[in-house]
Amino acid sequence: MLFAKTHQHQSNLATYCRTGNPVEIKGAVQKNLTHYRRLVFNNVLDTLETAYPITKNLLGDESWETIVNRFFSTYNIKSPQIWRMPEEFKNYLIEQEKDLLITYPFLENLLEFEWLEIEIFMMPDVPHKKYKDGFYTLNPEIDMMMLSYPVHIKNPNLITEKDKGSYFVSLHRNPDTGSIQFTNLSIPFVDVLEHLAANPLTEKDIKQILKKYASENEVNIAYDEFIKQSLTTQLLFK
Amino acid sequence: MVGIGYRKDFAEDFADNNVLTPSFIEVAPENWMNVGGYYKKLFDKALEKHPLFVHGLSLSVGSPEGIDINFVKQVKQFLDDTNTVEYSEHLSFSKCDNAHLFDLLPIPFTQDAVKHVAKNIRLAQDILERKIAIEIVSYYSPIAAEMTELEFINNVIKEADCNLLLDVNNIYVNSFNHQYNAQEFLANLDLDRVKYIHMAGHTQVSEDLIIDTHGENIIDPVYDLFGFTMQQLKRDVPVLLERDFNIPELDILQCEMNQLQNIKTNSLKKHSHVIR
Repeated sequence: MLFAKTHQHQSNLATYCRTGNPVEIKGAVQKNLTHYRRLVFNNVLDTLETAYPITKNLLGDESWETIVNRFFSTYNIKSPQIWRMPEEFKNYLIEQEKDLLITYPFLENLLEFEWLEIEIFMMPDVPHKKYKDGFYTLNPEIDMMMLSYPVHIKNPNLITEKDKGSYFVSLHRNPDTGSIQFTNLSIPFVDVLEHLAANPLTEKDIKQILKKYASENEVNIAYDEFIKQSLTTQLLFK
Repeated sequence: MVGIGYRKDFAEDFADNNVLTPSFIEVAPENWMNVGGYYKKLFDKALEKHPLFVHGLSLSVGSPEGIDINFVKQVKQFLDDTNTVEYSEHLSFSKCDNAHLFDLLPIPFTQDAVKHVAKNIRLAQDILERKIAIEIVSYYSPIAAEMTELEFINNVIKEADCNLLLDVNNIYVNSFNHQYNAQEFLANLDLDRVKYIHMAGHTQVSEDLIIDTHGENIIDPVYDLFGFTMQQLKRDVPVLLERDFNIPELDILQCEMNQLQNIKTNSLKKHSHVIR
């Protein structure tokens, strides 16, 4: 069994790496311990910066580093996979950094959007099943989200309360390039994608759904545009 | 056999040309478990041509709270799925007080830590149904040491009944940082347990400190120590070139791998001449 004093020495080193606050560790070369803090913290900082470039840019370098330091000092990271750590950072900010969310009411949306991009980029492959001719199928490597602010289409520095509303966006992984593409969706097309997520649809099926929202002429124009774009980005397959 | 640490930075070039010709590739399971997408497709393609060695980062055999059983089970699945040849991990801790730190921190060289770490390794080996090759890590400060590094390592390896991953660069770095004779240190390890060797570059940050960065080419004294290691081992062992940062053109990596193969061949040849 590990002695309490040995545990304490390890805990002291880990705490120093997390907080940067000097601790006394028996037998340690203090000047060399600073390298552990530097290496450990920079690794976390780099990973989060890569995950949330827009959020970091919005908050500015100094504020960003302060927040990351607070996160790393106080929050116990659970995932052994470092690429998943940014999700825990996002949840920490949403749950613990209330003042930040008051200053930037759209921040929660922005964090969710930036994380979803990573999650879909990394998600396990989902086999795509070819369906019968004449049917459209949805790219299975996809997720949709509803936003209260247009963080996916507008520079966050320009977003104001006037922008508050309901926005829908889908993110999917291009099977050829692996890149993540987002599609800004109106409610009728959210409806279409939700139906497509359940079953492949024909042109007639899709137009039938759209007719709930618009005239036949408008439906035909919107359908053509949507299908053309969706097949190009491989949101849909035919 | 000389292999290369497979990195996303050169995954496309690796798939598209034959500049790099390793005998095997190595990855960290944490970066590839339960993921898909573009890079996973390239990785799968690489696996069609190369045997896989897996080198873990987050097992944290030195964690005071013990190892994460669910995580070990996921690693096992990955090893089985990829038909992994050898699984290795670090003699360090990267998790403490239930928080991951994503770096390799030194374990106090104490008798209770020997027992604790050995127990963790044995438990992981039982779940994995294979022996782990444990790597001697580079470290920049001892932590409350009550025995020498050599005693600590030999005791852990014996008590855990595990294999040893010899990172020759780490031995060089530690001998420089803590002022001991690297050859003497190597000669006093239980070399029968060595199943795998790592080679890498490092960065000297001050007059008396080297950091193990894997961001530079291997320097001559480390090549020399590698030759000495092979002469001590007197048998062929897979060797890996690790390069994580500041990655050069692939032909430069291939040159380093060729040099490793040449040193290995010559060292073993010398040994066989001596025997005859």
